Amino acid sequence: MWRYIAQRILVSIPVIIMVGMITFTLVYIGPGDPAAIIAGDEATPEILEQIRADLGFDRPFPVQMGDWFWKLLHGDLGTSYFSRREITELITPRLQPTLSLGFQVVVLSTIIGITTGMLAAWKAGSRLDRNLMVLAVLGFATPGFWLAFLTIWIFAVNLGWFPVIGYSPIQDGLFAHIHSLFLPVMVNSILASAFISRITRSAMLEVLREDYIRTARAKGASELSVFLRHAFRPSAIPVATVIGASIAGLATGFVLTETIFAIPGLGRMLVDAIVRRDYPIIQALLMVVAIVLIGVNLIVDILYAYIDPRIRY
Amino acid sequence: MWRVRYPWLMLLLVSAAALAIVACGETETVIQTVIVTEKGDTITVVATPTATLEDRAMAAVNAKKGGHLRVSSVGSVQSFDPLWTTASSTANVASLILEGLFAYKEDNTLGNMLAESWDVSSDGLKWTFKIRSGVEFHDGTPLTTDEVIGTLRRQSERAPVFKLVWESFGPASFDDFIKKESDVTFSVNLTSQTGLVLDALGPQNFTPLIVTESWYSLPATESAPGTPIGTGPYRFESWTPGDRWTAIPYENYSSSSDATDGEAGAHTAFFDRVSYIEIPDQATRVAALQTDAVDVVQEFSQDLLPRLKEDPNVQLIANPPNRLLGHFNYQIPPFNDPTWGRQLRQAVVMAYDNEKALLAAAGTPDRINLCGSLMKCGTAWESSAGMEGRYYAQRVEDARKIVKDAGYEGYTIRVMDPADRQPAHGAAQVTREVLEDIGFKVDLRVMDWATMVQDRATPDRWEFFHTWSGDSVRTGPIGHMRFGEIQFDAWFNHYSDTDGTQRRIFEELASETDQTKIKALMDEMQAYFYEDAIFLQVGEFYDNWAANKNINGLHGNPGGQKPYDKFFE
Amino acid sequence: MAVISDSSNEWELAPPFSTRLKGMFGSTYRAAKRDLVLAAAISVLLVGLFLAVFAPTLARTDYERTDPVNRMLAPNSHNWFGTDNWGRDVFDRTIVGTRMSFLVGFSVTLISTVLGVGIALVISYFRILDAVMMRFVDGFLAFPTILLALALISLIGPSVGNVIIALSVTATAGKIRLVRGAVLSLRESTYVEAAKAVGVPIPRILLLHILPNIVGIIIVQATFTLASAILAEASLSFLGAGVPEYVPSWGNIIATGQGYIQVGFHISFFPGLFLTTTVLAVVLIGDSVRDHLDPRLRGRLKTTAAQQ
Repeated sequence: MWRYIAQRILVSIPVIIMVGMITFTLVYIGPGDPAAIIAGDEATPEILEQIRADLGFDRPFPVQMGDWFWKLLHGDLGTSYFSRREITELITPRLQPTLSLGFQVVVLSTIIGITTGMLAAWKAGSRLDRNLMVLAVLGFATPGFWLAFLTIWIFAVNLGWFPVIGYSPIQDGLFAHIHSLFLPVMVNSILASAFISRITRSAMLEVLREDYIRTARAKGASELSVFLRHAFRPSAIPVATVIGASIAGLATGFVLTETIFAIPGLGRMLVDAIVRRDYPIIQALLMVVAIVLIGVNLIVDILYAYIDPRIRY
Repeated sequence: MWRVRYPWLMLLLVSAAALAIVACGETETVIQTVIVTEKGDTITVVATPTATLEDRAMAAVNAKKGGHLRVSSVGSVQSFDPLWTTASSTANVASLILEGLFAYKEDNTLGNMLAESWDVSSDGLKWTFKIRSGVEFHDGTPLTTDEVIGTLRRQSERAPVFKLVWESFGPASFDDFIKKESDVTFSVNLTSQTGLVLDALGPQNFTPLIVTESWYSLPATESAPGTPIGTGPYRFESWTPGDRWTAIPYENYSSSSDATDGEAGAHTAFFDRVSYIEIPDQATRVAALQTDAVDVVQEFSQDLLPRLKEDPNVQLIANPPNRLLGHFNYQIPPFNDPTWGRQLRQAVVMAYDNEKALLAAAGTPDRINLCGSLMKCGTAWESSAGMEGRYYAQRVEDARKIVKDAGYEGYTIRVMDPADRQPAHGAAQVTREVLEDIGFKVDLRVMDWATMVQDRATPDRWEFFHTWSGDSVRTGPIGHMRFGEIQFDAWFNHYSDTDGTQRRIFEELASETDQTKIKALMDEMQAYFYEDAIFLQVGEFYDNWAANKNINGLHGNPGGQKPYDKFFE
Repeated sequence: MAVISDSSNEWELAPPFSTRLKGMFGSTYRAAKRDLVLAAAISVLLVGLFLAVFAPTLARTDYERTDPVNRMLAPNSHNWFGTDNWGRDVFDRTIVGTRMSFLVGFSVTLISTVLGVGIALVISYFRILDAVMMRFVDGFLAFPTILLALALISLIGPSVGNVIIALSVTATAGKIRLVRGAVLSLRESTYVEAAKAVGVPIPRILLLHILPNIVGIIIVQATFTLASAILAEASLSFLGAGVPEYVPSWGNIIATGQGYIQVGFHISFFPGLFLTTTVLAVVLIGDSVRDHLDPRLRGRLKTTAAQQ
């Protein structure tokens, strides 16, 4: 098991390096003279030269990239053009909203998705199954930002049940916190659970066709026990994959929902940075998100091995 | 066993709805408790039975104390340095944390702030100012004239009235112009008389707000890093970039002994905490006010006025009329073209659809005023000099011919479009159409206001943009001078009064006292303004801001929006 | 964007795909007749295509110009979907917006399919190239699509062409991984081994023996790329990273209405409805095609497709 984990970690290192190279190159070849942006108003050519030399923009590409990686390894993500502050300092206060939103969505969508998926598989072919699957297809086709718009209109503007703005930090009370995130959590969970539900259903159906399930039934195991004890565990692998993949989808969803619901998280930070062409922040956030997703996949891989020992070999 | 159908789905939906209702119900209770804890402890103070007069006064003050004022700020804070940018998000900082020598009273005249008194020599050439003693900065540094002079030096290149007085009526060297007399007195030394000395030290673009050495030693073109340290009633507490910044009362605040009047005189910090919260979306801003997530909304779509009027918990306050403007970039083609620049600017002005732009900016016809006067509309200074055939003339064909003759047909004009500020955003849409109609290509560059503020200071990023200004303090020539509307070399568009006409007129104005002559000079100034098409005067529009009804003391005049001296009822 | 590390294992394909495919187009009509949902989905797509081509001539107003006198009108007999905050007709803008969605959707699908399949076929037969290319693919697939596209557009500037480029990058990477996996497993099959043994040149094997067997997956995958690209374009426009605001696109019409949710619900509602309906139609057609090609794949492709 440990050997397998070590091996998976080793495999993800080249991916991280690749991600870093892509991110750095994108911004390097992009437009905009960082020196001019930093110098701002009334910069003379001499000042620009000075800034370029100070920040090392006059060195060759590989050296700059190496330097960037070196700083990255030491937790230095660079300095924002816009606010001229350390990016790590800017990111820290924005972690809580995004992480809390992410945690709630993953938990809720997994519960909803697996429950409905199993229900649908159990009653495969029934009207319940068909209804659930129609909802799942709808969940895929509905754009998150429009669903967010509709929920704000119904629950916040017309019914007034939830705040339109906003975010109430955990330290101001857990209940207010959950209440303030209720709508964004709902919108993202509905969309994410649509996938999980579909995959759970088809994975269960696949397993239910296997010989050993037939054997179990033949031996007189109850339908419920076949379902929960024999079928669920093997079908957990594709489900785990989808949950892992849906976290990637969430990264996109958060950019949109944080913008709509005015949640001061990493997603809105990225949108702001893009509007302001604050390339160091864009670079840093892309890198952070990619590394988080690679980490999630690593965990999913390790979970596989735990669920299905055959994978280790 | 296999025939289960609809009821499941119904059950799911019903339980989801139930969950939602429960979640909502419980939180309302929580919000209520929060409100009680925020203000509850202060009420007991009033009930003290045996109180002396002084105690009772203290009790009255204490009764007003408390609460957390949450203001929906306009635009994102990029810098806390109001000496570096005129962005309104930064001006919020100034109003709370930093103080100048003079400030506006409610009637738009100047009152004392950090300045306590002054003397003029008999020849009128030496003005000696005494600053208030016992004032401390938030970091404990005592206020001396070193800080005042240092700040004035940093502002000398940018504050327009200061600059005019120094260049036209003062000696060449700054050290001869402003002299330290003692720790509490300094002098302004002139070479010829002018009545503009107080105005030079008072509020204007880049008002000299007194800061400590760490800030005043920086060049004016460099945004000061770190957090602001001033002498104001509130001090800086914390900042979450892109979200909010907060201030708390400064315990050692030394208030002026003059009576409170607008932004001048004595101030009291009643709120326990003031937060400026960034809400980029204007619909969300209003919803935030209505759901008690913020207390003051400075800018919102006026389409929501009817809704807010019906809301018993909201007070609406009318702003003074706003003047909508459009600025040309004088540093790059086409508007700096040596032979065609002036005519191209005139082409834009003569073709412009002012009514459409004002409607797009303000919403409905009852909120706009098609007024092309450079001086404030509706006052004795209003004039129509030079407007004939230029203001709201819609001469698209003539303009198109100019653009074609000048050889700029198809030339791309980059119009900065700040999507988070409705008036400029609306006007930019109309500007795109007008510019395209007269033969230009248009690149409408959507950005947020904060980026626009940054980009307009960079010479090669734009050709045109819109802005607007509140008008309450802009009465008469000086009022307009303060905010760069009459300009010799404006800082962001780099307009330069090449033939000196404006400077000549203004120097005559500064020593003229006869009102009819002043009016004639102002008409001449306006005629030249239209002749040179210095900027695009779109017109006036009216808007409102809105606040929680339980905030006492808000009004539309100077100081009416500032969080000091206001309190929760 | 699939970050499913072993997605290649999911494609243990049965060879007779090509034979199933032959009858597909001929039987679409029959299938549609049997299946009302499919028929409706195809009609939606056809109406969309029609609007994408002809909407600008059908529009009765100048949908790119402001008309502030008529701003914020509720839906009425003349402005069926009302007007927006600048007084532009929402109905006209919505139907013209179809063009942007379809243009971006189909371009991205076409570009990524051609490039993805081409590259995958080539690299699957050159070990070193494969190793290098797959590291790139892994790298690109480590970013969520919209985030990478946003970053790219902020660098190269917002325009239709750049939106297409930005979305094609990740879509192509996804295609390469998918097709390569399928090719690799086919390469081991007996009939490819046999063809190799009798000396059939590699390009010929790729084109005549392998490609026909993966056409099925490619087509199914293409429908999901189309759905995802339409959604992604709308999301980018919504965030202001697409075409300029005055050019109608469903995403930026919805974004406009967002600021007027209390008083102008109609502005965002209608384009959102169009967008959802279109994406739904494409997904349903994709489902149908997949079930028709191989019922065993039910529910599988959605994972990879949906994330793209």
